[in-house]
Amino acid sequence: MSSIQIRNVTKRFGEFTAVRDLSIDIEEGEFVALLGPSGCGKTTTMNMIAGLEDPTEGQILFDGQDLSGLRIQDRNIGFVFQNYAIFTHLSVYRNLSYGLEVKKVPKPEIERRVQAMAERMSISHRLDQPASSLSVNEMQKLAIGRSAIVEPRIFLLDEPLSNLDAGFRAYMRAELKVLQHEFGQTMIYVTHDQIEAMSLADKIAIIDRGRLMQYGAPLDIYNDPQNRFVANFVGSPRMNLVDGELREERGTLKLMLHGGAEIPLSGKVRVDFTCDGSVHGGSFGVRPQDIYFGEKRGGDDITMTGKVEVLERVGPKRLAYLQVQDTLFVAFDDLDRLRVGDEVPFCLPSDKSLAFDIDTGRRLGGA
Amino acid sequence: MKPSPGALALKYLFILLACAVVLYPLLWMVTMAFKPYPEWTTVAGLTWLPQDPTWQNFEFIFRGHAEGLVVSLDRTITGPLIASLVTSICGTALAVVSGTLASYAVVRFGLAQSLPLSVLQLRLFPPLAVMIPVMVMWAFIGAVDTWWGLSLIYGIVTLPFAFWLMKTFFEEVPVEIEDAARVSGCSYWRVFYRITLPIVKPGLATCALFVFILNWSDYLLALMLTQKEWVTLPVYMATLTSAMGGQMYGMKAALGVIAAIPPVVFGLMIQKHLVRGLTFGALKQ
Repeated sequence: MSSIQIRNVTKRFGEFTAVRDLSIDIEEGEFVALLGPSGCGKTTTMNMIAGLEDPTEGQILFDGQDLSGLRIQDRNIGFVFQNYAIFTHLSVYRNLSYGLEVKKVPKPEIERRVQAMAERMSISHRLDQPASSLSVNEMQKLAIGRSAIVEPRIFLLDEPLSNLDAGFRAYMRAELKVLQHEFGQTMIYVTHDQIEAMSLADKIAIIDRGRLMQYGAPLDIYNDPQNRFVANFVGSPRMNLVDGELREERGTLKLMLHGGAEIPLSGKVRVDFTCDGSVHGGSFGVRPQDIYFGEKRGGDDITMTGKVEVLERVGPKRLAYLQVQDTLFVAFDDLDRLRVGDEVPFCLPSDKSLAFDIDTGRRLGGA
Repeated sequence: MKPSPGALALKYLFILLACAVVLYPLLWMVTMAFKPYPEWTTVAGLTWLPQDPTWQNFEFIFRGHAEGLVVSLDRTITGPLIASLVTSICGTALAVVSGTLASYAVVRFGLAQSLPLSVLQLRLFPPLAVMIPVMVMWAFIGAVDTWWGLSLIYGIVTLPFAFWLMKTFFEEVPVEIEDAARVSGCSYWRVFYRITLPIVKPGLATCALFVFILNWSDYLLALMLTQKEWVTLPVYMATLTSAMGGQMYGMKAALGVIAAIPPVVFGLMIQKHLVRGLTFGALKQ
């Protein structure tokens, strides 16, 4: 078990910069998810931690020790690949025993550990069969077992669930959490699925175009996104983010939306928008579950009127798409009385709304 | 959709015809090898099967003479057979080993990006065009009529084939499998020979067979670069004429039968890899 410090790491492939000045501290035993859209540099980051790629600039430290001189085979890392990378020309047993054989572990010890791991991953009935005969789900288990059996200092998982069907994915997600407890390992998990990251990780590092956008506990990131990208990326359904110009009219600060509508700002969100006088374009963010219908509950909340365009059932609740001129707001229909075509008033809670600078994407004001 | 009986019949008829085109000369060769001298020299009354089967032709090429024949040979098949085996096997080994290593370096490490095309150039011009310079060079280094001289040119000439074939096989191996092995603690070399090579084994076997057949059936290079000691089977076959009897078809047929054996045996040995090797690129990972 190790702690990992990623210090100002940059990785360039020719002209292309995959990772820019990335710094992340991962403590011993933590489960950290690297979350971001495809091509954001998260797999490259993972490969650099594993030693499959060398950083162009910066350092990666394990327990404070620079690993750049250490060959990958001496780093003692467990790596589960997206496509599992099973040795299909070997038996299931040999797949599990391979890492131990390379490390010259005595035979009886190998035998014992392979049996134990196969049982733990419930593939012991398949041990003698060629690995190529396994189903995708079993390959996944084998891939995890093969990486875990060598008791690595850190455990890296690169989108391990993305090839699985939905049912098994949910099962594996829970299983991974259990395994992490059992192994007690520092785990780094790459995913583009925010639900996976949210449910599994102790901490999430959100990466976009090679840059770290935010690093913190899942709930902190959800409740307190530091920039527009994170606000937009995390949460399902997505946060409403509407862009416009800030304009002062007869003592009222308004956000004139590009769609033609306007949001009169008041209370906390107004303070947020005005904390930096140089900002002229703003982005107003509010999560669908924070929008409510009916009477204003707080004095500073903002009342708008919109037309119900679509109602979409999501589980027991309904999502309402509210059109205000050319801007669409998504809200949970908490009253369950809405009908398509209705003109309804709805409220944006001021203290739960977020303000962003439209040019830099950075959060304005905030906690 | 199930094909109609008519279409099916047509299909089989076509296959049958195609087989006949291939098998008929082969059958002719095999039967002729067992015909005694009068039977393969006669113009009238040619028969499909030997009327009086005999080992006469085989005896003749192995011993230089045979009972009932007035002609004799000053060279038996033994020398050329050994020469062919030695040079083909060495040339194949050379081409496959260097082709495999080179293509792996190109595919996995991105080394020598121009190598694939420059290797291909070896096959872009007719062999005859470079034959004379090669003869001069080989004479200069004393490689004419030696086993290593012929093996060397076989290795060089078939290298592009081995290189390109192995390149496609290596491209099929997901890099993650090798990464996984490296993470498990394998060195580059160990990854190559314990993980990657076993995975491409079908390809390796297929490649070796093809290269072997190319070398085994070479006539031109052996004709130019050997004189006496290391004459190979195809060149030797061309010399099987007699001043009295003209072309010795029966003996040539016997020689053909013998010459066909090594590639067939090789093919049978790697049969289980062959189908996989031939369809390697077509299969999804």
